[in-house]
Amino acid sequence: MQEITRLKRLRTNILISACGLLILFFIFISTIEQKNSLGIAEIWSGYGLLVLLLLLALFNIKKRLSILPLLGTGYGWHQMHIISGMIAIAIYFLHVESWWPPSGYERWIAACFYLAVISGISGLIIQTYYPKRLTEIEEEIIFERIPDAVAEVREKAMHEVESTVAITRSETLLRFYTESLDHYFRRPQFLFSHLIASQSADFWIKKHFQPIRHFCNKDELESLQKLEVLAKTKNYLDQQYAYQLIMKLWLFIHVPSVLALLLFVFWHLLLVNIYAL
Amino acid sequence: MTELVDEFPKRWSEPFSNQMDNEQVEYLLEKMSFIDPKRFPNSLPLHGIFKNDCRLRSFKPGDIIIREGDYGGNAFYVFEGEVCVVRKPGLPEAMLGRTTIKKKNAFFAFSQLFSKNITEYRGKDVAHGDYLHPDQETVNLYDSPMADKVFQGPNHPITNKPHLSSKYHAISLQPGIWLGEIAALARVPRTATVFAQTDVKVMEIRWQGLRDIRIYDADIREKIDAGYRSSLLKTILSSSPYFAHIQDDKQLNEIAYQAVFESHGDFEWSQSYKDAREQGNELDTESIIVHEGDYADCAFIVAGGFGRISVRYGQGHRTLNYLKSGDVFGIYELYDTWKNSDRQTHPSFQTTLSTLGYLQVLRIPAKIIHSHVFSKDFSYHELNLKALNDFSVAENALLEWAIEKRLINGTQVMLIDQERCVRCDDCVRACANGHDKNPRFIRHGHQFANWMITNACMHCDDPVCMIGCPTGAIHRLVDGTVVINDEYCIGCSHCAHSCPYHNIRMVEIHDAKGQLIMDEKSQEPRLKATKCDLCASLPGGPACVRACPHDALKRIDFQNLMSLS
Amino acid sequence: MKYQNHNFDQSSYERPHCQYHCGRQRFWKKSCRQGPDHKGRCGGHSECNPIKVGDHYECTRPEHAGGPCQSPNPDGSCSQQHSPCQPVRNLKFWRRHISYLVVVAVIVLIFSFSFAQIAFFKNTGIADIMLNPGPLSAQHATFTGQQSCQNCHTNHKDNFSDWFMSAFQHNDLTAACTECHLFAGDARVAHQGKLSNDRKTSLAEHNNIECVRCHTEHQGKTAELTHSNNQTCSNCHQNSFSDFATKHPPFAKHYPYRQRQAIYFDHLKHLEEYFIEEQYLTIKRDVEFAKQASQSCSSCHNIKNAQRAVKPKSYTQICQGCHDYQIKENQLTLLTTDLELAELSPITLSLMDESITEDPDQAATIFLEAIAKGEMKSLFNLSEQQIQQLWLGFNPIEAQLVAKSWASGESYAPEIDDKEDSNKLSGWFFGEDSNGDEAIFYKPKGHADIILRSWIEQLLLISRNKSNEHIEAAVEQLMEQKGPGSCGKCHAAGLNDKQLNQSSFQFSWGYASKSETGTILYSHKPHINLMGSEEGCDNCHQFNRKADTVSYYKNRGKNPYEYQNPFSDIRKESCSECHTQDQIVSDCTTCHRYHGPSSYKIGFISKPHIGGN
Repeated sequence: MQEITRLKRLRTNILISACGLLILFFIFISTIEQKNSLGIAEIWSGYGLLVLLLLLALFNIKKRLSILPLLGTGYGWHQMHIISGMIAIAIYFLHVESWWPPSGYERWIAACFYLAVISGISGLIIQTYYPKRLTEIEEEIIFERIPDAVAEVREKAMHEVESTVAITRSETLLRFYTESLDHYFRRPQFLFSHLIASQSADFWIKKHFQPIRHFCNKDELESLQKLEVLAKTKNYLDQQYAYQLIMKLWLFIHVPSVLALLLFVFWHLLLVNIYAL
Repeated sequence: MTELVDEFPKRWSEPFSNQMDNEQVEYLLEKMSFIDPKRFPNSLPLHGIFKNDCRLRSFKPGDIIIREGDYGGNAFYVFEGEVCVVRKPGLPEAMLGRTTIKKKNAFFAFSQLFSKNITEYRGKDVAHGDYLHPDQETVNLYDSPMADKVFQGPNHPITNKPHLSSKYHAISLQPGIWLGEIAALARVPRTATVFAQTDVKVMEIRWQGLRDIRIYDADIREKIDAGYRSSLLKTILSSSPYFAHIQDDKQLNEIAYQAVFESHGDFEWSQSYKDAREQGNELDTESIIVHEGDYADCAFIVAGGFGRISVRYGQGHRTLNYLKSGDVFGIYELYDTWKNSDRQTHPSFQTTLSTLGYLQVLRIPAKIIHSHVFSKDFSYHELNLKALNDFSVAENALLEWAIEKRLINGTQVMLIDQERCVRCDDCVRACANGHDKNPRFIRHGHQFANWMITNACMHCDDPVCMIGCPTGAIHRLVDGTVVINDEYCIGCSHCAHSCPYHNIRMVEIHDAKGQLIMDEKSQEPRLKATKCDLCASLPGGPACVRACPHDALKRIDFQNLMSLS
Repeated sequence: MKYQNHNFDQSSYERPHCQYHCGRQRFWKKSCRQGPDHKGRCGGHSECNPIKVGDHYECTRPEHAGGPCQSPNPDGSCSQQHSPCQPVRNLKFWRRHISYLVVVAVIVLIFSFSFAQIAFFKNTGIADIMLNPGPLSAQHATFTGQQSCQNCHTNHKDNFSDWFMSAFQHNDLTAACTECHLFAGDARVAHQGKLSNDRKTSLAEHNNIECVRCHTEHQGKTAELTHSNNQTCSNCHQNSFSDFATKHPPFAKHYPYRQRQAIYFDHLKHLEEYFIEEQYLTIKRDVEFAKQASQSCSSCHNIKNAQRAVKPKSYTQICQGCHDYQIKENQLTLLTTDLELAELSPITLSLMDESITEDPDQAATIFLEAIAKGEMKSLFNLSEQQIQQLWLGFNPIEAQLVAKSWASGESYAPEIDDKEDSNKLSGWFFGEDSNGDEAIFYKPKGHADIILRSWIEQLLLISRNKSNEHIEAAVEQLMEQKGPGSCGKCHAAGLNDKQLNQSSFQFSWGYASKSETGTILYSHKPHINLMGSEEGCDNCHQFNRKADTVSYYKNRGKNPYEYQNPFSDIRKESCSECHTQDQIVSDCTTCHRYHGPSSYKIGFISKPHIGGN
């Protein structure tokens, strides 16, 4: 089954890539032909880019219409989105012929385009790399349930401390919790270090749990062990939170920049037709 | 009346019906005097069976007693009145009270982009239907008078007298017959519709009671077995690709007579499975039907349940594949012998066949296979097991794990590759879009390596959830999709409790303003059972598969997992 | 620890369409069971609605929510209460929200810095970021001003509907360019009408080329508007090439001497004979100059101001020394007489009324009679101004005396009263000419004598429209070496050529430098600087001894474009010695230009600014 699905994906990719390259080739040739005959070279690349941008934006609409089989599969659209994006980059430079426009609103267009491209490529990398990292963590949890899970871990930890304190009448663990663990259990921590696959969180746990052992009696040691397990559980939750958050947050840059780009592009289209054509 | 003692079956602590008093038990003993009470042990007296496993029911003319296609764990014995059995092709769905599912169109798809999002709003008819909430003190639903009405569907009663029409193959039957006993015992769909032609009185017995009567009463056993042979066996044979070419009734009868019906494992596997999971225990060791290397003197057709095919591997057994209803085991070895009959080889099974939960098989002797099945043009329909053996342990591991977890029950298992899934929830959103913004599955579930079996209805081959639905709201479509009819669901949560995989959820329904609809008597919110319906009302099948942008989500049948085609 | 419970009664559906979550999530606390409703209202702070059973209340919390609690409060309220929350919204909502904000911000930005600019900030030039694609080049920026977009973009208005609808109409920017820029020819036609044989596009495409196809504005102050590269040329010219030395086609035949010059100057004769042979180095000639000129081209040609052509210096600088005496020696005779019979010269006959000149003898008599009466001007069918030019300095009183004298059969001897008269070397003379004949003649002052020039021009003017024996004879006479003023000796082509300058009726008296109207951009100066003024000329200009130059100057029937130049054609090899990839890289515009000479239309500076001060 895996082989079959991989072959199907390959076939989809080849088909879409071939179509995309054909379009790119066509626009390229048309542009060169226009240049060679004193025509308006930017017409082909400009309108081609507009169509591509609209096609890219349609992906968002398609997602809401998945119940219609005629529109094809999400995977096909996703691949088309990526490949169209790559081709749009090529056509953009064919159209603009410079890294940075001289001034005016065209700089806004360029800025939005670069932002959309960079965020899109970053998103692609994030979506390729982080799911594998997530899968390697113990157990999966749905993003919206992480606050509940964090609360539960915190409650368990507090309960553990309280019950131990009640038995031992010693405030060691209570003080340890207040000074070191309270902040840790309050909300997800070490987000950035998780994103870069750093071991800072593990190190922190070790750094805090190791020294306190000297001051604990037998009951407290037992409790401390349970607390450490809870801290590690919290660490897994933090990792889940970090990865899943970044897999949602990149769209906060991509989608608004694309919307801004589309608006600026329509404005550009209007101005070109008013002032130049 | 003997008092209940500890040795009595545990199920009797929850009787089938509370209405069976002594008077009614006496009535039954009288009416069913052909069953000798003396044959029954003290720990399982006949009157106990009547009291705890039976109830009396009355039907008016036109009332549906058994509906074709339903799953039911109960059998009926007709005391009085005439009933009508409608054989294939059967009555139209609408006449049987099943609502045809109208496919939604593209207009719906676009309109739901703008529709309001009210959680679990089911429309005014469904919300304010006058269904009674199940009595909280008991889980017995059958006392609810409304249950009967609902069970029969909106076109109740059947008034157009199909028994008088030449269009339908309807046969009138006199009282003194058993109805639905095969389906109850074998857990197969009801094969025909039975409705009351006149005023009818029946005894309804749950399958456990019937099973126990069958054990101790030889006449009943013979009658049931004969009926079994004449209907179910032949159905199994004619639906098998190896026997489908045999049209001659005589031949089929001969084969049916030679075939032995066997039942292995725990018929109530789903309950023991759930218990084991909740307690974190391992599942029971399976019973082995055939060992690798045993002399192959027969073939098996699976009639129900699941069987595991495995080979010895190191200290244990390695699963190659599994069998489900309709699959055949042992043909390969028999054919090999038949082909090379001049070599005088002794056929032996190349793999071990064991039970997964429970397994009902039809054992067919080798000589029957040789004479009726093999010919020059013979070809296999099963997977090449030898080739499956070539896969590494790691490649097979998912299947092995799925079999351990009894996930192989599903025909549309939602499998998500976690290494491809970016947790975008597009699948959930697509599901919700197709169901008035209410999703029908949760993106969590058991995980093995990078594979997750999501909590979405798997549309099982053995749909244990369907057993015990008081209203028939949960039913199976022709293509195997298990759906719940919102109108008839009374929220008893029987199916949700029954589902061993927790794929059915009870939701609180809301009105158009988004307020909870409360039951007036109990002040609790009204519930409805919900689950994945494979987007039966939408064009194009499950939207979740189409929606996934990373090709991570699949609806699979585990048997096809390792397919080489 | 298990994070999630999969049981149906302990985990409920996650609803991605519901944007609200329990507000406790904001503080990382456990969310309540009910959750907010679809309008974002808290789901309630109690977990059940207790019902009264008998004399007490019972909890109705459903099984899936945890089942009934121990007991509700005695007053019937739920004992499991929690404070209401302010529901939080999910990430998808915030993403949508940010997107909307961005959309609104962009729309506001576009509107403020475009329409506001047109409608409100007409003169400030600070708020047009969303309209202006880039700063103007320095040339245009300085005179168009910041706000006068309408100078080029006539549809730049504050009437929104007009402005918007102009998007669907063709915008003729070339018309805006040609409001100020003037070209020799139609600006829309390629090369303003001069077409190359090797063009690859059709004629139709040639006739409608817009300025903006090559000249892109709004590229910044320092952008070169006039810059174009090889690719621009190859749009139309199929002989596109990347390397001049190897790929440029050979130069055209007769390049650069496509047509005959107006002045007949035989270089070879002068350099090999007239400047060096003793017989020519007489006292009458400037021997020193001749010696100098024989050695260096720059003696005669003005190297300092060398452009496309290295023009010869003026007559007075280079020719006068040897040729002045010849001019003065050869007079313009109107009439000769031997006192019995007068004879009008062909030039006189050509200019007189044709009805009179049918009989030349009669014409002479009439002429003399007219002179006696002082009415000879009326014999010429010319305008008053023309006659005035011809007869400038002519003394009619003396003419009468001459006529009377001849009529009585006596030769005329002028009275010389003062020194001025005795030193008169040019002007109208009556009496004995240099041939010893009695004549009315005019002695030119020197080179470019006005009166002589008038007579000659008048003759040539008439000869363009008419032809008779007198005109032919007159022109023939003019071409002679000893013709009137010796003009025809050097100015043969200019005088001879009927095809020269027909439209303007201007005569090619002077040296006409290579037309600056062409598309070739050659300048001698850098080449002379590089190669030296003395040795450099020979590199490209070599004599073609086989050329029959004379016939093209003397023979009126020859096509001036077919003449054989005394200098050999300049070939590409002369240039490609230096203009190679390794030495001097050249592209098309090094030597060629698209436009001919261009200028500005009169009055463009005074054009009012639209929106300007």
